[in-house]
Parts: sequence; structure tokens; C-alpha cells
Amino acid sequence: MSNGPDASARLEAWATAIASASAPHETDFAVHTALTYARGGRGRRALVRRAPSVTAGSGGELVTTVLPALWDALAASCELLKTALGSPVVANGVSTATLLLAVHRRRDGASPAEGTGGSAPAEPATGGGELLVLARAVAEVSRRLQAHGMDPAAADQAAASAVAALHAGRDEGAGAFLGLLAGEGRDASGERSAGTPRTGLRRLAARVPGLRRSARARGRSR
Amino acid sequence: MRAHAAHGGVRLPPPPWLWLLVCTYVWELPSGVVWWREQIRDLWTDEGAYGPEVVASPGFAALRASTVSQLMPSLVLVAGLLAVALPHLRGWYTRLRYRLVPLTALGSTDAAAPQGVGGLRDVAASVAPGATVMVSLWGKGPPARVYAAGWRKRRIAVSLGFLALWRRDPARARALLLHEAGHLGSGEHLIAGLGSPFTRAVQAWPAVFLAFGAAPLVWLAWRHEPTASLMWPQVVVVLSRASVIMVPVAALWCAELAADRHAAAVCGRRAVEHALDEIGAGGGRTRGGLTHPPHRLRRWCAERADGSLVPALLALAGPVILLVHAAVVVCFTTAALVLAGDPWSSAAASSLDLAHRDVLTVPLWSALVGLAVLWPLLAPRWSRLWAAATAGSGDVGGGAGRAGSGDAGRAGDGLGPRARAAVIMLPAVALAVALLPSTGAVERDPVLRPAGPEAGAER
Repeated sequence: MSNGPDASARLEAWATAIASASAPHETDFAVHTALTYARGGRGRRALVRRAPSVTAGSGGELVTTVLPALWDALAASCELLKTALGSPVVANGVSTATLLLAVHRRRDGASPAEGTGGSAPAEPATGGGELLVLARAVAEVSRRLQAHGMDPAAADQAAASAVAALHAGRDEGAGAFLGLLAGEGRDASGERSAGTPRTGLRRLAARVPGLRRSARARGRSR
Repeated sequence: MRAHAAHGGVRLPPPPWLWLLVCTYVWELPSGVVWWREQIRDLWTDEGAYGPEVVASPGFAALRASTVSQLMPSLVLVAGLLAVALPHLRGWYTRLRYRLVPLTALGSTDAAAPQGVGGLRDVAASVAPGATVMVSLWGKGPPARVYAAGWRKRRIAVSLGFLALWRRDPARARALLLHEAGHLGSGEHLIAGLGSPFTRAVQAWPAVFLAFGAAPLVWLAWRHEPTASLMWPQVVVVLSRASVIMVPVAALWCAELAADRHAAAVCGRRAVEHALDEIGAGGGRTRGGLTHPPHRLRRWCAERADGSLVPALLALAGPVILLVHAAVVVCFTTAALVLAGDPWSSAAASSLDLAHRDVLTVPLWSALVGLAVLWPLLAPRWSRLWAAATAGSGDVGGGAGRAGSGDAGRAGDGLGPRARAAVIMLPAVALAVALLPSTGAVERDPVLRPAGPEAGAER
């Protein structure tokens, strides 16, 4: 989210699309959480963590939401996903069911393409090698979702849906969306993600970790 | 928190034990200051009642550490008063800490849909008029919580998980929302809820107790110091005073159970049971700790929400927990006195007199009797004071008027004649005991005698 309105619009469009595919009950906060995640900082950290010392209310917790963990998983798997989506051998439409089957077959040690011509939904244009690339990406996203505490089956489903949606729109900026989510533009340019200039105090606070590292390095060199 | 029951009758809330507790805190504040001044003088200054050889012993260090655990009840007291006195500051802090944004800031694409955030806003406006719904941008956390952003500014903070539940299972989400409306309708958001220093202090109690109350005991036992035996009775007395924490815990539990009952009155007990199951199935930690009743107890009460047993228990909870506290004080103090060398009979007499003096006080039990007798008349006015939750009935003014006439007092709080008699008789009997003259055993006891400059000089 470092490049102004275009980046925001892209994030919004893709957040809505992926939420509709992976977590239809969470579309209300898809855009806001994606923008917050892309901005980085405390907002991003809070999205993937538990609220601090909550004491009152209805007690207990609800089932964990999917989207914050999904943004984190997609951002963490950004390079792998970009490679999979940009692979020239990956052909046309890939459904969620096909990806799920491919992931399961990959885990069982079989070739992802085996049996796709049978009872499984047919994906005539995709071969084993092509599916293998995508299945690896799905497995990686699923693994990261499970690290957030998600049930393996639900994680597979959410990951496969998201990757299928990204694959379907790979020519419409899916890679750029992943880059924005991962904060690549922000990190490269060193700009603040929200697009507003930092205040002097914030600039100083942001430099503290760097200053600490410099001090440690100086200490070691002595 | 006067809710129109699913069967059409008006349901009155139980007595507001949490608010009564805050009132007793205000009452006890001066005596608390005096007590702490004496403790600091005795234990931490050279002007104390203990000789130099006692102060130098390891057992005295354990006593000092145990005294720190007594800070918790005082801290809870101060936190409760601060929570009520500074709602604006708390609202500002809560918004920052829990990353709260207004519901409208989410920018949902189909906000107008009933199952979307627009529908949530409308339902919240009907069940908790005047309350603003905020969304917490933490990934995990409890579904919904109330807090105060000002004297009349009421907020309901919902989690992202709650928003998902609102689309997935609106009936369960509505039950959770009604639970929070129950808190708002009783004004409990000013004392408890999100960002409350009061609930925070109660929640911290177990850790402080283990660190400063139990650890010194273990240390004393492990050291086998010769002076340790002298300090055991004092440490036990310290722990007995710390047991006062059970009173705010019981008040918080009553508030939660009353909010559940409010929700059950509006949307039916099945919906509340399902909502409780939803929370229980979440698999996350229940971080309520002391501030929330156990899940099983809540479910047990929800299953009996339509009967008269739960209202009777909630109405009796205040007097009962005070009497239980008195019993705990008696047990601990008896043990301490026996450890100090008193015979059992003398120790028991002194302990009973101590409980009679400190717990069965005439002003407190007079207030409890008055509340038990007058609550059916006061409850509608109490609900009106907090802009009672209409809870989908749309009949606040008329219902309040009828309830105020006393009619609702007979039919609305769910108490039968026997339960009502018990609710009045229990504090009345305790008041009668409180009115009995003191046996003077505490004044005669060299350990329990109230400390003062002259008493310190004697010791």
C-alpha cells in the first residue's frame, strides 16, 4: 500500500475477491483488515495476535477468524505464490476442488495429476507439473494457516480457495496484490505505508531499532 | 436491564450487587486508609509494634511479603472507584489498547444487508439504545464486551469473530449482543467490562496471591527458621483478610449470570445455550478467570432461566457471599489463634467476635435488608436510570410505569412467595445477629486487639 489510490483500490478489489472465495462470512471486514495488514506495524501485529488481557464480556472466545491469518499466510508465502502464478506452464482455470485433491495426493506421495481425469473435477488444460507448482503453494499457505491455530481441513480449504482465486485473476494483478500485502513496496521505498508523512517523534522511534543495531555492531567491532 | 420475557411478562433484574459493592468501597475508604497507615507503621517503619529482634528475623520478612498480598483487595477497591470516576479516560485508553474502530469504518460493500454490519447496527440500536458498536482489530479475543467512554456514552466492542458469527449464525450472535445489552441496562459498563481497572485488578489477584501470599508460606516452611513459628499465626491472619476478594468475584459472577438471564428472557434460553456452546467450542482460552463464572455454571443457569431458582439465587447472592466470607474469616482466625497458643474455645470465641465486628456490621446489613424489601419497587427505577434496554419490546415507558406501581414487583422478578421470604429473611436474621452486643473477646485477645499507639507500646 505504498503507491497511493491505485494500490488501495487493488488491495480492496483483491481482498473482497479472496474473502468471497475463502471466507464468505468475513467479507464485511475483508477490505479493512487487508489495508491494515498491508500498512504493517502494530496494526498488522495485532491482527494476527490475541487481544491483551481481556477481562470482561461474554467470556470465552469464538472460533478464530480466517482472514487475518490468511493475509499473513499469503504475505509470508508471497514469493512462492508469485512463482506459481507466474509460471508459464500453468495453464487455464484451476478449481478449488482440483487444488485440494492435488494437495492431498501430494501428501500421499502420488503425482498430483493422477486421477484428475476420473471422478475428480476435470481440469483438461493442466498437467501434473503445473498442478505440482500450485499444490506446493497451497500446502505452504495451509501450513502457515495451521500455524495460526486453524484446523487442517479448514486451512486446506481456505488456502486452496485463495490460490484458486489468485490463479483465476493472475493477469489482473494478483502478484501485485501479494506484493502490496507483504509490504514489498513499503520496505523497498522506506516510505510509511499509510502514505502520510511521519511526525518527528515517530521517525525517531522508527530509527531506534536501527540505532540499537548500530551500537551493538560498534561494540562488537571494539 | 428490565427485559420483556419471551412469554410476555416483564422481567426485573436482580439487585445490583456490583454497584452495592462500589458503594461499600466508598464507605470503607476512610477506614482502609487508617488500616494501611497502621500496617505501614508496624511493618515498615521503626515506630512499629515489633521489637528489633523480631524485625530482624526471616519470619518477619515473610510477614512483610504476605502483607503485600493484602494490597489486592485495596487495589480492587481503588480500581473500582477509579473505573466509576473516570470513564472518559478509560474510554480513551480502551479505544487505543484494543484498536477499536467504529462499525461504519469497516467500509463493508453491502452494509445495508440485514445480515451485514448495517443489520448489526440496527439490532444493536434496538436492544441497547444509545450504545455505539465498535470493532476490535485484534485477530483473536472474546466476542463482545461493553465499556464506558463517558458517563452516558456506552459502547459495545465486538471482535472480528463476532462479525463473522453475525453472518454465519445471527441467532447466536444476537444472544451474545443481548448479553452485553444486559450489562448496559444495569450500568455495569461503568464498573466492569473492557479496559476496566476493577476487573483487571480482580484478574491479577491469583498471581499476586501466589507470589506474595502463598510463596512466603512455602519459604517459611522450607527454611525451618526458629523464628518462623512466631510468624505463622500472623501470616494466617494476613491470608484471612485477603479472602475478601471473594466478594467482588461473586458480584462479577452475578452480573454475568444476570446478563445471561436478560438475554434468555428476550431471545429464549435455547439461543443463550447455543451462544454459550459457541463460545465454549471456540477452543481459545477463557481469560475471564475470576471475572466470569465457569462455563458449566453459566449453562446450568441458562437452562433454568425460565424458573424461579436462578432469580432466587441471584437475589440471595449478596448476603450469602458476605456470610461465607464471615465463615472463612472465622476459620482462618481460629487457626491463627490456635497456632499462637490459644485454646480452641477461646480462639473460636475471638474469631466469632471478629467476624461479628468486621463483617456483620449494622449499617451494611440494614442496607441489605432494605434492598431485599424494596427492590421490587426500586428495580424499574433502576432500569430507567440506565435507559433500560428495550430488548426488542419497544415498550419502555409504559412497562416502566406499570412496573413502578408495584405490580411488576410481584410478577416480574420471577420469585415465588417462599423465595421472596428467604430473600428477606436471610439478611434480616443476619441483621439481628449484628445487633447483638459484642462479646468483647477481640478486645481481650492480645493478638486481635485493635492496634493503636498505646497498643503498640504495650506490645
